[in-house]
Amino acid sequence: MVYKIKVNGTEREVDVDGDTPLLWVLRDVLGMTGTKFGCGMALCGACTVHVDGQAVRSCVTTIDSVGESVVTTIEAIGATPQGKALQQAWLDLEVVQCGYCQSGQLMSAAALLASTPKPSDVDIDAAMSGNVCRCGTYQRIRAAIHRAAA
Amino acid sequence: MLNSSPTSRLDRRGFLKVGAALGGGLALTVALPPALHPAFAAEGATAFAPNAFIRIDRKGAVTMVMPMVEMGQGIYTAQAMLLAEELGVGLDQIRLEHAPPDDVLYSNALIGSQITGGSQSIRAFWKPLRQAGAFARSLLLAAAAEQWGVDPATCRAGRGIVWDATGSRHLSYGELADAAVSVPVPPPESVALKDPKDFVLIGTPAKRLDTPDKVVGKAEFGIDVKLPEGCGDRDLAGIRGQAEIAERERGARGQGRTPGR
Repeated sequence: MVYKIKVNGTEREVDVDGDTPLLWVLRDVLGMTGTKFGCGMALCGACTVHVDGQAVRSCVTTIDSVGESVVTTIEAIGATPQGKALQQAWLDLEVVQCGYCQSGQLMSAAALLASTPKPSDVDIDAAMSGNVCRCGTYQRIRAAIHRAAA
Repeated sequence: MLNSSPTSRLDRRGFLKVGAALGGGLALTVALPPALHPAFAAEGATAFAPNAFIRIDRKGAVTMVMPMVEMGQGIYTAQAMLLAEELGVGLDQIRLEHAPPDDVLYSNALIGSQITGGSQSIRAFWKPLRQAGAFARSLLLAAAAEQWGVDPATCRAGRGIVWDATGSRHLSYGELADAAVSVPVPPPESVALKDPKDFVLIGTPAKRLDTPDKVVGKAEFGIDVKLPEGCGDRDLAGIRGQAEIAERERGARGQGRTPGR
């Protein structure tokens, strides 16, 4: 059936089954590949997007659960003050290695800063522990979040 | 890419090919000496095995078609540094394009196919990319010297600009790109590479060129590649390592093996 969803400020119509993961809609239907597929089971965080400002795993978020909620992805997070500051901090500190998980890392970090503008290390670890990085960039991620919050 | 215009010229040793870029400007094709890799000689490969393409357009933009895959190891930045160092441009003045899969055009000459791995990317391209940069710079210097009626040896280049001896006249690489296509091609061995003590980029810390796209979701990973319209099984089967083509309900088609395993 046809679903209307709001993605990055634009209303989009997609004709998919109700149990289609939001991630598939973003990547395969809308062609927005900035959000990554990692595990498909909400274990790795690569697919993190915002739904009404909350960081959610889009791989286990069905399209019929989105409703009127506002979806924000890595492609548009730079339009928010937190997203912009984080992206700059990511560049300043050269956080990225391979980069595959970093869309999800940035989305989780942006949700954290929106709710906790000056997070402690403990806050960061709690908010970011669901985002796995095979390259092991965790120390730089933490430093970059502090930098963006400064 | 090189076109087949009559201005394309092959130098004596078939190492570098100079031509006009489509849309204007200078295009260079670089080839590793096939003798470097015994397999090439054994297979009777042609003497001309280009594996990197460099274009300088009329606006001075330097585009490097990158044959190796960036996986976080920093090769986009490191190989661009090799070229930029000798070409006389800043790292920020280089644009990168992915090379398509093509074992003939984009082989790593030490491995013998278009494989990124085995710590071979810098080893294989360390000299050829520097030579390509130095060669292109010599053509641009010659083009400027010709316009000014001076000896090219008195000119110098930096940040994509050629200056005369007094520093009073200058021309950008973009302004020289068309003229550089038709200046006499020097023998490659006559184009000196920099003494390592004069390096300004190689060996220095640099911001990675692949990072900006990765923090905004623009970087294209393997899983993000969309096959072009009309891309069929024959195209897929032409990719080395492709073992079988299988139809899938969703997602990528085709099954490969890891080359070399």
